[in-house]
Amino acid sequence: MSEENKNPITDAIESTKGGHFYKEIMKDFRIKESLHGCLNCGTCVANCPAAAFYDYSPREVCQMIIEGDEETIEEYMKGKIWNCAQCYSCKYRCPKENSAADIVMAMREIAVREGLAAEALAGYTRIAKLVLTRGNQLAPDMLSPDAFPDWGPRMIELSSKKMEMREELFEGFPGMNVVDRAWAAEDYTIYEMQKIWEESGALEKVGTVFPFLVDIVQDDMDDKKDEMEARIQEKKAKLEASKK
Amino acid sequence: MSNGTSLSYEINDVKTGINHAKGMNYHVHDIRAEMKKLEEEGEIKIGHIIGPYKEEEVMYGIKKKVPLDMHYQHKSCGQCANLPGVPRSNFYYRDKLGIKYYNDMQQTSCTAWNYHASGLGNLVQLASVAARNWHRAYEEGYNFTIHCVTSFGNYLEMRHLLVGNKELRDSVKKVLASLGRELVIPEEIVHDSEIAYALRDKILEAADPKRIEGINGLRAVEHYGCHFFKQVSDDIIGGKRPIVVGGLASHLGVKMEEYSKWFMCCGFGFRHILVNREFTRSAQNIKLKAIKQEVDPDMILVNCTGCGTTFDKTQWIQKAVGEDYHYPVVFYSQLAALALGAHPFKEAGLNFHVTPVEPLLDKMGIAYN
Repeated sequence: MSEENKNPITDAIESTKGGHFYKEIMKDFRIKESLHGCLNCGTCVANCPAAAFYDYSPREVCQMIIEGDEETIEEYMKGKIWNCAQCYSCKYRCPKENSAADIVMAMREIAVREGLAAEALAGYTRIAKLVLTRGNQLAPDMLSPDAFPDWGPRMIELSSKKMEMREELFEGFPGMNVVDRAWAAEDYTIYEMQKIWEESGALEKVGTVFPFLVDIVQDDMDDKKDEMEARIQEKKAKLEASKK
Repeated sequence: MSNGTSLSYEINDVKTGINHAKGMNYHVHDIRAEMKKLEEEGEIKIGHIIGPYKEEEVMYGIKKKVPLDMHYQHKSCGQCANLPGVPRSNFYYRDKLGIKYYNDMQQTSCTAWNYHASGLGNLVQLASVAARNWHRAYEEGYNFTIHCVTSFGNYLEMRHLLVGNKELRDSVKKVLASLGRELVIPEEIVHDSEIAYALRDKILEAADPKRIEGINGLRAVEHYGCHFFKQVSDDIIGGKRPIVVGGLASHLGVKMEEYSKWFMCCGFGFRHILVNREFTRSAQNIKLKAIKQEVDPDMILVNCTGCGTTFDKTQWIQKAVGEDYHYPVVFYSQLAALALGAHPFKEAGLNFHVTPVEPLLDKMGIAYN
């Protein structure tokens, strides 16, 4: 991708279409790379697992952006975008190298920002909390058999023995035998992760869905701020010295 | 691959060659050339490959340097939590081959699973998390290598976006500066299965002959994570039709079989595996049915955290629709570890899998108690 690269198709679309959601979507620079015109050939739909089971169509995603069809865009923003499996089969197969998956991703970001994602993200609290307070996305403790009854009876057996099994597996590998996170990421590392979310504006966005989580993260950051910022200052000085 | 003679997986070589030749060259570009230009302009630093490497061919005949030593281990949170035998096997084959690696407790998750599932976060956050982990490998003096397919696809995409977009680059640099870090993009974004494939001769050479005898003739199908080869297709060994898992396995004596639904997503879907598992189970039903009817293999070989989880955990419930599946799900590195003599449970962690692996181990003649 070249920085000077213009996309005449998306530029032309942008200059003529109205609609609030449409305008927000077109602000995302990925759209220029994700839409090169659409033949309506349906190759993407034939390969799409979400289209096989839901009222969802990657062809429709591309077409609604080309048309600037706010009614259909709104329909997707309010629900259908969450059906996409983000598998990128559409991008892989499209003869025009469109990527409905990337368009949907831009739309999901907007849906969260505009407070439309509460229902879609119900049941997602634990993951979001883990990312923001542990630096990992998943922990052995989260895979309890009652949360995944369809994973079968062996899950129950595994769950009850996981501590001793992990101890045996990870003997001699410090930091790996933990159950409340995937590995024992250091406090400093977690602070860096939290700071990235804060500095990038992503933490504020989390607040539109999980406001209590923002308070938890900010309290956590405040508790260790002095010590961690001192370490960051040391790092900054070291980096500056290396440039000289 | 144009030079099929150097590879052990000839069928896929031919397929990949066809895909290269026909019509997909909409915008051929080599990201390495663009990175070099930005490095010369002082816009970015490149984390160059340290130590020996092997060149493997990706799309359009471009060569990818696969580092053979000094591996920073970017772990997978899904594997460590759910299939811990995979990272343990990744460490195991390196120990056996004398490869130096670094298991970093200052690594974070890539957060791409969260991002694709929920839309929480944004591109500056996602790219900054990527760049912070890249910088960890750089400051410790290691080559950046990745266990997880979601992370791999995400890091390929973040590299692509950071190289191509100055605005994003500047925002990320600002965030990194607030941490006392700088933007250092790795010369190569390499998945662990690509490394194991590049090391296939060494793995076979160091393997336990009895184990190879047990592996020889086993029949398997492979499944690749969508984010391994569909998200950013042009920088993967084998290009549009990946070859690394089947290539390694067939090198060790496994008979790789084709099935019609190889391309289809496993049904993981990032959010679906958590909140819409009826979709996951339905997609699995299609995949497993094709695997059973067309091949009925001894095992399913994978390289992706999410797919490994989905295949392993979703076979039992198919009884609800009158199907009975019990295909052991084995990661490329678990197979390599077994070939190198690993204990199947204590060192390859296959006892963490829900679909029983014992019948496969019996067939291979490997004791597990």
